[in-house]
Amino acid sequence: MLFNSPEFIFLFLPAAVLLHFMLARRSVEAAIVGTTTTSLVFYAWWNPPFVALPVASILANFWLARRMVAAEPAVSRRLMVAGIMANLLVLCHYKYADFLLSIVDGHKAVPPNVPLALSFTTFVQIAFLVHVHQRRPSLDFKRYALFVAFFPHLIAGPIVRWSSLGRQIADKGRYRVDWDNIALGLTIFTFGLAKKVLLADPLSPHVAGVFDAAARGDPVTACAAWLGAFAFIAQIYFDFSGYSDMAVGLGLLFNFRLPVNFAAPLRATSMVDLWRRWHVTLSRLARDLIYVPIALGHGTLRRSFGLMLTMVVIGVWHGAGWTFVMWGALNGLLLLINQAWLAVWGAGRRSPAGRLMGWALTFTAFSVGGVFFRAIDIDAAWHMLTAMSGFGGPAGAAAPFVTDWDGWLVRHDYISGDFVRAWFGTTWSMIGTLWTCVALAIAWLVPDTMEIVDYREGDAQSDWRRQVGPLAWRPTPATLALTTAMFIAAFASLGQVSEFLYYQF
Amino acid sequence: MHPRSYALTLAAVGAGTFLAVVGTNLILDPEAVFGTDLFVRSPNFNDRYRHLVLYQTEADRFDGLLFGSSRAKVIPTAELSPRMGGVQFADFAVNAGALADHLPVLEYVLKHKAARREALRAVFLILDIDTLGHPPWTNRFIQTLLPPALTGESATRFWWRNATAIQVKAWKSSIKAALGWTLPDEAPDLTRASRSIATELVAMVSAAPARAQVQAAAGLPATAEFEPIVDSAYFIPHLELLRRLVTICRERGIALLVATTPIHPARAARFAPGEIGRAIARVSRIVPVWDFTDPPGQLQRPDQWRDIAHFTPQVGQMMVQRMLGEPMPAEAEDFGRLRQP
Repeated sequence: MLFNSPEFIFLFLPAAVLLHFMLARRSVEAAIVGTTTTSLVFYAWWNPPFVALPVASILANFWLARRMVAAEPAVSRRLMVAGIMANLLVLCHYKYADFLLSIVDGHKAVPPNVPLALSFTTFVQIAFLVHVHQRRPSLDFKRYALFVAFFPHLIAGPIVRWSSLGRQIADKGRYRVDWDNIALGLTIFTFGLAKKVLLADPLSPHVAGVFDAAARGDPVTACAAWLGAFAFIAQIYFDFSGYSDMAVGLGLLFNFRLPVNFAAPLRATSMVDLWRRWHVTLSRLARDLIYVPIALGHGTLRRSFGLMLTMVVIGVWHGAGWTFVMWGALNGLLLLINQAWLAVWGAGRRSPAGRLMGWALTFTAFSVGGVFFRAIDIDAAWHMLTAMSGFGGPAGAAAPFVTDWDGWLVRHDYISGDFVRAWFGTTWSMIGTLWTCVALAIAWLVPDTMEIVDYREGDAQSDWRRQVGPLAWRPTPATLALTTAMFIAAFASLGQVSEFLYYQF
Repeated sequence: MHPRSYALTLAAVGAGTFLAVVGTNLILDPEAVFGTDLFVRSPNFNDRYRHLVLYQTEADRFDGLLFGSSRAKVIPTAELSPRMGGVQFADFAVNAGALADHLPVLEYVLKHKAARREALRAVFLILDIDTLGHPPWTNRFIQTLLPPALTGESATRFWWRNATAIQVKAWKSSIKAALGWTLPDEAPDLTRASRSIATELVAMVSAAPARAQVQAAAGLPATAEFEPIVDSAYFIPHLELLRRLVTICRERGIALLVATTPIHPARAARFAPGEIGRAIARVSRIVPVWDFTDPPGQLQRPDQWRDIAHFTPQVGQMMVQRMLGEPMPAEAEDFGRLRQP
């Protein structure tokens, strides 16, 4: 069940929230058990038999954590390592087995059919085991089960920590209806839904057109390739940050505050800055679990190795394939270059022109890296990069326009047909350009959801925030009207079906 | 504003919007799946669903199945019965019907008949050879969703999809039909349609050399705009479904008659020379097929066609006559031939 499906919004969610607070009237324990159960129902909606996997994983990790708390530190450490290895083995079995075999025997790896949420639950539970080893917290199975299974973060994050969400679940004061949180949660959820449905989804066919053409080896003009790469970055940003906003909004409906996951990353002026703002919870977890143990207190070479390894792991975490390895490695390399720059020139204040240059370089470099993330294989990525270099083949002079809109613009002399064909070829369109520009302008110029509503949970580094002035959210008739309009527009898009009007031939 | 008022208003608007959509779908019933029947049936109803319901209401009357697309709707099924040993054909000719639609129906009917100890005697399959390079429309549009009895999908899911669909164009169309408004573009007026089709045919035929000239000037191969059939990624999956259908019929001793629909030369011009023949040859390796794709000159006149794809009932009648070995009109003596492996 997706957050943007009518069955989730209009059936599952109201039922889950009502059940939670009705059970909370009886007891906190009942609410915890009830919401854990609804979360597992949410998971099972995708594929009922597979719900056994998170259930078994929760049971096994909790059992291990209990043993760790009771054990001597040395034993606890061994148990923690064993637990981490076991979690990674399960992840490897489902997600990386075919990819790893393909490295050995050279066959072409096929995209794996990974159980839903496995990557997220694995990282959440590994972080939990590390936390248990380091802090020896008091443990409660029901709380732990809800901590892992809580449906707002279960499928795609934000990645939560026991030190934050575990403590909130234990707080009995959170099991009363809080209208402030519900109003805020509904607003954030609506903003996220609008990001996903109104901004990310319309970009999808344009992005697919150019990347699919590259995968087939069709000619792609340089302009189409660059615009396709930029459009993909806008698409993935609004898609994922929209999903994260929805998760945060959903958490608030239950009075739980999930951490901020995106901090307007496309406004970043350096790669270091960008990776502090993009998928924040994953970056921090990778830093704490991989980079810090390897690099802390060591020299430049080891720190560089630690950084590269961390970024490659982040890349591979997103998917099993060489494209993700390349994506992680490229971003690692860009971070190293950025760090070298900072080491030479210092991190002092930069002029507006310097910041603009930094932003342009950062966005461009990240977009180039995004080609590896989106391409189906290395060959397709290479074809896109070749096209971006201007060697993607000739544009089809007589080819039909990619969209009817382009044909309409040409027929009405708003734009030259030769211009469209020469610059965009057969893979890109004026309407795709327009939509990409609108999406990127919103990403760059309009304050982010978390700025507008001033939500700061888990946002230790808040220097990215701008003054939003009159856009600051408060529950007023005006903001209600705006949020309502946004919801209706999003709902109209998500409920739309392909209509075929036959009209009797 | 108190947060409680804010939250409740927002939730109420959301619920109201949702209920409005569901209510509109239930009342207008654009796909004619809820059986509300408050208004005239929309021209966009789900004919896959409707044909199955019609079959289910009189299942014991039928011992034959007619499969095809909208082109096959002009095949005179009632007249087939006395000429084919009394077989009563249930009509499953549906808009953009493809093997992906037909095979689930065949499997369902066989199960249904087996449970009632009845037998299926004949299947009459009419193929649109020119669409075998396209993906099937099955389940792609709200109007082409297969009924849950055929797919095994939960019935709740099927009703939910139909009830929550935002389909503004279909709603407008239903309301117009209910009010008796027929806009020029929507009127099922065959006379007017014939005129527009004639214009369309002329435009297409005359445009073809112009396209070729543009291609030549651009240095592109002349085949650049030809639609593929045999080389399309969808062709083999279509053939696999056909193979399954043929196997089922052979294993159960069901008489199978397969024919291809006539293709107007203006539509045939969209394919490379010989492409349609290659596709038919591949089909005929699986099952003997009556090839009507190349109608003689007299049958290419605009008055024999309802539009670029759909021929008239007279042409359908002639197809049946040819297949049953009955005398043919003089102008159609060369119409249709049996292609075998």
